[in-house]
Amino acid sequence: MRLLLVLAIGLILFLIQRRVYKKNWLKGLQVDIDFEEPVVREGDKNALVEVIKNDKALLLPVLQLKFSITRTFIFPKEKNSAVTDQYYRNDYFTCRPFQIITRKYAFQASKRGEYKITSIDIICKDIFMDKSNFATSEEYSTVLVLPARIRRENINDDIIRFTGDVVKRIKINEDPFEFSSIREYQPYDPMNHINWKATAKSDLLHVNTFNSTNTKHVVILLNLDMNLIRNAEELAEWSIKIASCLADYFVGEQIPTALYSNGTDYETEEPIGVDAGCDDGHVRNIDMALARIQVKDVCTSFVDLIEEHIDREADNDYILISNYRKNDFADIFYELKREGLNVSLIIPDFDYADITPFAENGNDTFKWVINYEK
Amino acid sequence: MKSRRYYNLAEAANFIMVILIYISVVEIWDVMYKVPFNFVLPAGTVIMLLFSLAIRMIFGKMKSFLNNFAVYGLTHAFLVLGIIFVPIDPLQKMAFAFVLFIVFITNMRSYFKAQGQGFEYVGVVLVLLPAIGYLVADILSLRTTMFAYFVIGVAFVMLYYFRLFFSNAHLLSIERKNNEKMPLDDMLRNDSKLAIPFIVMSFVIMVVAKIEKLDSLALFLYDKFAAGLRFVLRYVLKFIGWVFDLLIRSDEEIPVAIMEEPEVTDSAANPVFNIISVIIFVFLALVLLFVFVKIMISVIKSLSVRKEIQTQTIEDEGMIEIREKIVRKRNVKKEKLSKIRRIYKKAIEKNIKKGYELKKHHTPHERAEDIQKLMNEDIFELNSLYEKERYGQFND
Repeated sequence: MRLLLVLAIGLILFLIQRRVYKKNWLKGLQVDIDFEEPVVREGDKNALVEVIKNDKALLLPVLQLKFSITRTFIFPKEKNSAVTDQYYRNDYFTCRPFQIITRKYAFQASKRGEYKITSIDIICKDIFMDKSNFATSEEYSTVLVLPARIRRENINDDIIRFTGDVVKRIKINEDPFEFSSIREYQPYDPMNHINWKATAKSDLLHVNTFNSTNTKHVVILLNLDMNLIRNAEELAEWSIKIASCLADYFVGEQIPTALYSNGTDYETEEPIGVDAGCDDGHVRNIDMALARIQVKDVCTSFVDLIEEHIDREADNDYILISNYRKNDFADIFYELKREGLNVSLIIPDFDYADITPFAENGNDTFKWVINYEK
Repeated sequence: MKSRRYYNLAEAANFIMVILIYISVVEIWDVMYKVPFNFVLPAGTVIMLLFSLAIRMIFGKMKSFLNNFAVYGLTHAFLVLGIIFVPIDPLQKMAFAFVLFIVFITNMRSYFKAQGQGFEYVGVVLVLLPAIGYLVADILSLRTTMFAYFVIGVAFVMLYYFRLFFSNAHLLSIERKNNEKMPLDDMLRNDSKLAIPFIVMSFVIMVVAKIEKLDSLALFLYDKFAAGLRFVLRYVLKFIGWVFDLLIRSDEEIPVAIMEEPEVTDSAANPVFNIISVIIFVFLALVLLFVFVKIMISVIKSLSVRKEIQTQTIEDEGMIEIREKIVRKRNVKKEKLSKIRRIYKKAIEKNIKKGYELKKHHTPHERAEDIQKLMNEDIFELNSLYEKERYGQFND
């Protein structure tokens, strides 16, 4: 019977170590997965940060983390992951007693949106790597990818001229009580703007600059209902980028800018809308709203959106961004023009597309040419 | 280490386990027919297993139409012929036929599952075979066979541990092919620092548990130790006596001849000597225990992080890894402060026990005044320290 006892001891020791790991592996173990920057712009680099804290004397020889994130994040090497509808990561660690391991994986955010890591599966194995112990951490790490800025070479000269005209039209007179900044004198500056104190200090002529006080706003109305189904998503993304770019430009010129769209927020499912403003954080607010927009779900028709947000009493500038150009929209656009409102239309479309019934580079209608990539 | 090497190590451990199982079966046969212990059957079993290993390897690499279930089964006919023509006792031939039957069945099962590509891992439950054999040998009072079964049983368990470790290391290294960032070597190095002491400890405990008379062994060790101590003590006393004689009788004639051995009283009968030897024995045991604990602590320390911060950067793969040690600094100042608060609390509680009624609306200073007035005790010095600690910065 002594041999049975001996063999039982061998088995009991094995079960004890298994039990020790089962009971204690999670104690003092903290797993955090987060993003280095909570807000980035599309195309920018960010990093996924995994932090494992093992605050106990037990070695965790094999610790595995499994979680999924959007596949639009491009990691340099994809071998330790599976990309299907999501990007499934599977990372291994060996965690010594009383150790903190921080791993950073650089990636590129390739698409606008708000992305979350909702849960992490943690798997730990015992000394003989035989028994796997599981736990799930309910973690909510979020990263917001703002729409990309469009490069200067991708912007048509007519559009630049048009936006300049809008600024000129709104900022006709400066307000002497709205001090903006001090800069060096230029030949076109009036003499009464010279700041003599600054000039005396720097030995160079300096002038005060002023903002204009105006009640005029720029209202950008963004339509995410496309003219054709083909390439609709790509065109919608370009429309969002254009809206973001224009808002940035006008707010930079201190012009109160509002943005409304018939696209909905992906979480609240409410239509996107940011009221007029031109403070420091306003562009960020607009970008954040545009980042959360979902292109496949349009809550109202663009015609209804126009009717809702155009104020015929106010002297605002309205910029409509719409690839949709069917008759109902064309009718209301020309009707607004006839009423004497400052309404302009930007039609984002591919270079080969015809934007009939609108003129490509008319006074108030512009085609934003997108290079078609197969 | 490459994944194939872990696989081979796991297979080697498994193969030895298979051999141990077959040897157990052979031994059972031996015991049942009261055949005295000999090496013919175990050696024959090993040859049979090597043959089956060879055919498994050949069939594993064979890609022709001959690699099928029937041909694989028919190759065992060579073993049958071997048993028929080998010049041994008919009883042993029967035993071989019994072993061959088991080899054949397990080989066919393995082929059916893996088409000759690999081994079928033997389960740990099969350790019951040597256990049963041990039981039978114990009943028949066959000491050598019992010892053989004990070795087989313990070796089986040890090999099971090793096989488990290597097979899982193999699985992990396969996983690594899909996950280049997995720190496999680090994992296995750290893990082996736990697994190997665990296996050694299991082995020691199993062997110690096998020793039937632990108490008599302890007594035996103690007797030997006490005898050694007596021996040393006798010669020490003899030396002291000789030195004493040399100094006292320096004026007298020094005897050239070897001194007669002084009569030494039997120290074993002396209770003082027994107490001293017990104390020394326990002391030495404690020293050994201390050394063992120190070794264990050093093993644990070797597992923990030595440097406070280690940084590993793999730039090509866009990964940075930083490893830090969790350092808990003792907050000496805080401990000092809380000590003052504890003393203050005790002083107030002492007065409450004496009959002082605590007024919660009092400030500490008012309370000190109240205690002096009612209890005639001066706690102003303690109070000022308490106030500094409780309400302000404590600056020495």
